[in-house]
Amino acid sequence: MSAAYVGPRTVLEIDLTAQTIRRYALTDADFADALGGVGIAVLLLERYLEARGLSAVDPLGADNALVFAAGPFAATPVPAANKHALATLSPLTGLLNEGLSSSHWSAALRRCGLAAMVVFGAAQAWTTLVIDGDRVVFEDAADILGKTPREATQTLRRRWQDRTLRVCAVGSAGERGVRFAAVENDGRQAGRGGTGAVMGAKRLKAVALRAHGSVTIADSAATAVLAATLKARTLGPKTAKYRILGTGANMRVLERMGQLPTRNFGAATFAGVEAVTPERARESKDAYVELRSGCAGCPVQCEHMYVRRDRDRTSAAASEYESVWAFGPNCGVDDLDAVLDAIGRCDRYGLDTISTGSAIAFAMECAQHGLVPSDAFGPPLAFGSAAVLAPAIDAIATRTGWGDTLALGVRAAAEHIGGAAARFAMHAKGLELPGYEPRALPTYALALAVCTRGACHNRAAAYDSDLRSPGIVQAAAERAQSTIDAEDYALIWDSLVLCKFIRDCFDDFYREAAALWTAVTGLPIGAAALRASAQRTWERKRRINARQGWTPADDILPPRLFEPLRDGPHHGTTIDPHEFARALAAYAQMRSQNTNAFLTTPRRLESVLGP
Amino acid sequence: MTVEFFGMARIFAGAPSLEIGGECLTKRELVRELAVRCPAMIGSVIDPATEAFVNPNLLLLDGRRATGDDDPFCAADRPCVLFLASGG
Repeated sequence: MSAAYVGPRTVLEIDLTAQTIRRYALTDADFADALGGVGIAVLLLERYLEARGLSAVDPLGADNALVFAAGPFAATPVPAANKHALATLSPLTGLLNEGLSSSHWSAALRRCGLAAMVVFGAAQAWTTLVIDGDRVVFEDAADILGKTPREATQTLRRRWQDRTLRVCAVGSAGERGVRFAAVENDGRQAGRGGTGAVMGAKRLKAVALRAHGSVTIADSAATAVLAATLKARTLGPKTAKYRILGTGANMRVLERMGQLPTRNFGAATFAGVEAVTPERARESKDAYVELRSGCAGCPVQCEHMYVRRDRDRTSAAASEYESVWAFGPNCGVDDLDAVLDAIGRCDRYGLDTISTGSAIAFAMECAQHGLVPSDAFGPPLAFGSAAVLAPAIDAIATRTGWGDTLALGVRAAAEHIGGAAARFAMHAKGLELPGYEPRALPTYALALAVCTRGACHNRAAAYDSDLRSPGIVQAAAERAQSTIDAEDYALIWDSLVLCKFIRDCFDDFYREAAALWTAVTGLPIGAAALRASAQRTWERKRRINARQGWTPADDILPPRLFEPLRDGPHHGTTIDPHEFARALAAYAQMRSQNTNAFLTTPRRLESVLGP
Repeated sequence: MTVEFFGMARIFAGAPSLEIGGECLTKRELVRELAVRCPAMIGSVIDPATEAFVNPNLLLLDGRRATGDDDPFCAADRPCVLFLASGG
């Protein structure tokens, strides 16, 4: 077996302002250091900022860079691995945002001979980048402006007479700079943090890939055996939930456990849950058609889409848990049709469903307190109002009226509205909270607060340790260690990049993942080195945030989470501020000991809770 | 007692819940009872070799509290068979 990295190692650097390109190769040491996916994307973003001496960069300015980095197992037989990472500075948080997307585009990136792309500057006119083998074309995008990502893809495929052209694109929300606009490819989204707004600010409508090559694997025989074993497991009971029900099945479970954020985190149980759980649609075969979808090369095919039998099947909407939660329980809406319509609408505009639903829930609560007109979008802007979802989403995407305010994200919208609005803005570092109740999940609460991306549930998935040991409250140091373990573990998944939905399919993840990496890339690695890579990437993430002005004071949760829950099995439960401060301090101390990161110290909670 | 089912367990049970009468049961006895009453769960939800739930399925009392193997479930209890794989 070769000791050198086998696989695409070229970085394509594109200056949109000058319309110039440069290619260079990543070294074996780079891959050993950062693996791929998020690890490489973060490494390249930091190098970009360092090389230019940039700090406090405006995320929507030309100086911001957008890095696409392929997963190292993309375009190989490894299942659930056609994924790529996107790293940039977020217009929602002002800090690092690294997201993931999946499917054909990820594989095509490597089949174009690329490990990564770094795009910076801003085009004079709307542009589509077409990577056609060794050629890079800066194409006028005027004719696809205003189109949905799917429509833009179809137009580009017709123009290039290539049905296999792989396209990632922004919708009209990204064009208009909605700060939580998504980037879509192959029906999948890099949803969170406003990467779509960054593309829009660069007047970059789409990036299209024409892949002509194939990807070399270091040890094909070993890879085939490992991949076949993993694939067999992904078709077993460990992923049955995703295959048969989809993530929407979380709804009933979290409601029963009293951990379903409802009405903008005002409650943790939702009386209308049965009406909006996607399982209900699945069980109502006379009313709904279920369509299945998934990423290229994934046996799980987790996406379950539903549409009323009397409606056009192209309007079927994905019933992912977070999306249904955001427009359902979080807005107090128990109308599944309205929720599915809202999700489909977001996909067409290119909007992150979590942040969009959260912005509407925030506006509903503001209206309840007279801070926003109750007729801001026509139908009553109030919890439970299904009719307001569609016009509110339209207004956000088109940045019309109050929609323009909500398009800033809840943190900035609250500053704009003033008064008590900040109390209703459920975010961490500017990123809206996902659909798990942190007061009932103490490790997850800590992970949300310290997450470099803001309130992301996927950068630590620390709720796993809470959910598996409910009722057991860890001491601060244990909780901090659990959070660090969960962060490092997630970072390895995000750098390899493997879909976390198969995380129960490994018997010994670190050992088996190291074997996969070695077989595919030819670079020997062990479990300890994998973990060390994750720690280095975490350190880079913190350094990028520090360049952007992050301080430990930003590691905090919204004030509402320090108030007791008012319903459900966890009635009366809250995040104790002193206990939380101890956990933050323990986390900072442990991270400082385990890495070379500068010492982080927890903020004084008084600024949030009052003296 | 009433055993509540969620997710895959609910599909295999064919119902959202199941009434089990009689004496208090330990977790292992309850798993055995479920295997008899809902044999479709065997393999996907219940591991017959270990007489335990297949990860990530889990039994939580009242959907809230994990229990030890020898803790009894009695008439007023509502054990919930849940899966805890999350995400999405």
